Amino acid sequence: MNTDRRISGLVIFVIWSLFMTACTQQQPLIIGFSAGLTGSASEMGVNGRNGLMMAVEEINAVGGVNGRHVEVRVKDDQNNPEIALAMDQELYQEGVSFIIGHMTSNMAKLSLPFINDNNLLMISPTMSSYELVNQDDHFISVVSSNDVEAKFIAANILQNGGKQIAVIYESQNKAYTSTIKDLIAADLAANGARISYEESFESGANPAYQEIAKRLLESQPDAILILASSFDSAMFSQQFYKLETQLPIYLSLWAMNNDLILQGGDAVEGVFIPSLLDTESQNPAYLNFRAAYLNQFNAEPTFASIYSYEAAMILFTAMKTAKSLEPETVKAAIIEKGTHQGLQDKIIIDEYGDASRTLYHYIIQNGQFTKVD
Amino acid sequence: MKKRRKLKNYIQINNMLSIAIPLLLVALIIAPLIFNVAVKDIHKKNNIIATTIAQRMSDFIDESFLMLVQLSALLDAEVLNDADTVLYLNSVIQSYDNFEGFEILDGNGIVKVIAPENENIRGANRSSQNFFFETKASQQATISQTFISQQTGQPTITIAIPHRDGVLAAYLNLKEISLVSLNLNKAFGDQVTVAVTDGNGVYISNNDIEKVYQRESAEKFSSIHQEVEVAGKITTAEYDGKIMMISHADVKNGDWHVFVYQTYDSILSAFRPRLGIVLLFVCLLIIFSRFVSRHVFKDINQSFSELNQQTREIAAGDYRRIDADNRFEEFTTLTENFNGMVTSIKERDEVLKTLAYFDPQTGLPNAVYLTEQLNQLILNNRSKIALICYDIDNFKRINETFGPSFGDQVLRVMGERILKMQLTSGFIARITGSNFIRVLTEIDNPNQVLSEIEKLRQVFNQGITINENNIYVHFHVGITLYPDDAQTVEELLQYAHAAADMAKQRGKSQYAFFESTMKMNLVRNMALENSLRSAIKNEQFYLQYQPQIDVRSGALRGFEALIRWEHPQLGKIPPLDFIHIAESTGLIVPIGAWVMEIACKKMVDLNKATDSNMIISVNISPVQINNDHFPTMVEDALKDSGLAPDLLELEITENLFIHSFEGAIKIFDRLKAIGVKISLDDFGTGYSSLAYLKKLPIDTLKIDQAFTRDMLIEQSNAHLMESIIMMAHRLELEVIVEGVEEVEQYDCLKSYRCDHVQGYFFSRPLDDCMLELFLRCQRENSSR
Repeated sequence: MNTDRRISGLVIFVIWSLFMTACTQQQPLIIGFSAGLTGSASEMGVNGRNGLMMAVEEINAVGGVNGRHVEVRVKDDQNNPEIALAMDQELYQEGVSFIIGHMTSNMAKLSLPFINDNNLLMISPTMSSYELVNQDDHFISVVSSNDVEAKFIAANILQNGGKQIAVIYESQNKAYTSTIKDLIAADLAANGARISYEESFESGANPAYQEIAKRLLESQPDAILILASSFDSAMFSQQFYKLETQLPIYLSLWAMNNDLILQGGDAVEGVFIPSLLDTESQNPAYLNFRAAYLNQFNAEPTFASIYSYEAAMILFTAMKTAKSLEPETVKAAIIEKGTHQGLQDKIIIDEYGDASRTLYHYIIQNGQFTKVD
Repeated sequence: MKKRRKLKNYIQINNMLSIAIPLLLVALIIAPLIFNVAVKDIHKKNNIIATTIAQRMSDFIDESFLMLVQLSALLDAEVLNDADTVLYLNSVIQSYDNFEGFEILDGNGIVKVIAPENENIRGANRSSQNFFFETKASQQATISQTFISQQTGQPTITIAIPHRDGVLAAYLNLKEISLVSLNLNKAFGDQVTVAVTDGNGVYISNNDIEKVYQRESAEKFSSIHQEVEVAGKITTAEYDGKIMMISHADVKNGDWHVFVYQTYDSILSAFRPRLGIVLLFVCLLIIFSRFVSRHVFKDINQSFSELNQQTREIAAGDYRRIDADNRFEEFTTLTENFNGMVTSIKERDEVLKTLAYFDPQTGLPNAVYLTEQLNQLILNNRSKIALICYDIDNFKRINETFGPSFGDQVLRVMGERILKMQLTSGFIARITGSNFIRVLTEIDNPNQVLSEIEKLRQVFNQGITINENNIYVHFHVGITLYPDDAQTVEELLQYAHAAADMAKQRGKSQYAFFESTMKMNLVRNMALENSLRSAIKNEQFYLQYQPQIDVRSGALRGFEALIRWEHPQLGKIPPLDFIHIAESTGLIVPIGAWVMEIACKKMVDLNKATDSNMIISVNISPVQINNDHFPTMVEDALKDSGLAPDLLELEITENLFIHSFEGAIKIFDRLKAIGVKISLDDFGTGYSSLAYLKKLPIDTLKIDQAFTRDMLIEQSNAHLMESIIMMAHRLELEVIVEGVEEVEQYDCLKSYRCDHVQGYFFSRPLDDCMLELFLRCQRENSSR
């Protein structure tokens, strides 16, 4: 009887010890990433994921966040607002409280109310819609809002003497393109210029690039503004190239990646484009990141990958500073800090979680993005 | 204390452990070896899978390039115009799922022909596309990285060959490439994950097609890739959160890499069915061992049971030899040893029985035997039983005369004679000393008892001759009957002894049946014994003092202190009734000490009061002398009272010297040395050996009152008295004569020159009040 009691005691002790060990073992910290990873507009999402993965690798190499290993649940929102909401819901059900994403402003309409209602924290690397600005919500953006970009583009057009501007804009990402178009229009109008023609198209539905280009030229503008992804911008540029027009072409931040040059070839020579990146930056952090990125992906890091990296790093730093994994507390820590160090420059995040970033003038010359001083 | 366990469990558990432990140890040693071999085997197999898939990929690329080469040849042959070319290419696209589209680019990278037709692309500038400038520059076939086709929205790669000064390009659908490897993968089973990556580690093919669509990179691609290549050993890496074993092969004609992942878990799971079989086998072995051990134990248990049964019988007193025929040699040896032990026990038991139940001196049953047998008889026998208690009248005297060893020989002879007697029923046991009890069963009438007594008498009437000394022994006999007199052994023995005592009082060779009056005496004696214990404490004793008169002067010599007991219920108890009880219980020691203390103090007081040196005589029991503290007691009494030792006279009797003559002499020499006087009391009643008289350390001879009483009746007695007095004087002993009650006696004693007298003629024993009165009268007489 005594022996039985002793054996039972030992077994209970061992089970208890294992249980306690299991309990005391730190569970990984899971964050979500949601972006369009498939389809024709997936370039930004894939680049963003790559940048985020580098940030996660980097943080895990130094012991994770608050002693917890970071893992990422990657979701493909297919650049579709309904799917984006469904992905957010999936992440929420999987116990995720922090989401890096989405990458296009159109996702905000359905996604953000869900994020706010469930007290999650979303940090977007690239969502820049003006509509999102100045709202006390559970959303933080590390990219400047559309109005900054609009002002920047408008100023560039005006500076180059543009008066009659024809605009082509993508309709699926209207939250971005339409907003920016209107802001630019307002700026132009204020300076004696105007949008003389505008036409939207739907990306991925085999748009009639050539037809649209022809219609635009028929309006006889003195400058062309394309508010679309890099591929679509390249495709439109190709049409203008084929039509042998010499009009200056202005592109938006959205088109600012390597694909533009690859797809555009000679057709994108001389296009004006704002950039969130300074490709000539000598900031060691940037240079290290670029080298690592090149090594890992055999491609130059795009602004989407850099901004995703920065978004993740801002999140991890705030979690460490606040010593908390509560979305509200982490958000407060991000806002309280205000100025965050990016890979190239400082990121100022205001009380509404909106960022101010430096924009750079770029022109494509000899198949390269060339910074204009 | 060692932990006890059942032999059966012990054997079974050890049997099972002896199978399970070696098997487990072997399993612990062999399992890792088998696992390692299995891992290497699987890795080898996975390498083959990787190589096979890499070969298939290579063939796929070759086939795809072949299509471009054929196109190039057709174009060179100029058999097709642009429209026909498009038609041709469209048919190719429709025929081959892997081809998504074709482009013919001129030397500037302008799309000249495109299939399927797309006016947006036709005329577009591809000069920045890697496939264009790399192919043009190298004039070699090239394969691009993966990208998302804007036409299909699916991952795609471009293959290109130089053509004239331009380039021929084909777009290959990665989904189809994936299917090629997945189909192969299925052929190798679902235990492995096959992935094909491009030179940057981006998945071209994967079991999880999402990874291809989302252009995921293989984690730590470059390090794994290099490690695989450099080390050529088993490489492990994390994949989907699990540690995987990785096999790798390069696709020859493109910078593609095939990785085959397999979890260690899947290797273990391959083992699981076998492990189950092994465990089942072990369990079966253990169960088998249990059956074997049970069977083995059954035989052992049978042997144990037999042995147990037999030992129980032995414990119950059945000393039969155990059957030593057993199938186990050890048990046979054990049984033989046990039988040896049983024999020894049996022999020893007999010896012990003899020692316990028989008297070694006479060979007769002893008191223990008597008690047990009598109990048994009382329990079983409803007929009458007689207990005839014999005691040799003069056995003490025989011992005293011829020595204790002579007495022992007398008993031995008696035993021999009794044993030779033909007893009709019952038995004879020796109880103590010269005391025997004949148990006579099945008594019909008391005459049977008397005839039995007669038989015994006849046996012992013959003299016993030992060392030429011929003696005759006489018995006094007490008889008690069961169930008439008593029902218990204890009572029967008690009453038989009481009857024997009564017979002894009646004279030599008398017998007496137990009577109820004897029972009353016994009860009274028991009551006295109980009261005696508290009598001193309750101050029930007191002393009386009988004066002793100096014959020559007529003055007081001193007093004899005599103890008296005033019992609260029984009244005055004569010393004869309680002294022997006090002696037998040992209470005489404290009583004697009390008497000594009181008497000495009294004498000091009297001497002070009368300014004289009178002597106090105190009677001493032989039991007191045997007490080691006796001399100290006397000395302490003298010291405490302040009485001069030469005023104390101890009265002793001859039987005091019977038990230890030397010892008694030593004690009296010690007391005499301080001045104490010794008086020999009751001279003439006992053994009165004149030989001893000379040796005894006595100062005074006290002649018993029986002599005084008979002195005036017969002249011869008077002469005897005179002679004793003369003899005492010759031996320089003073003489006190007791029992002087008449003036003639006194006158006579005066004429015999007796020294001192004591008796009612002068005074009865006096208590304290009377003593004072007596002394006052004495003083008045002397003053006159």
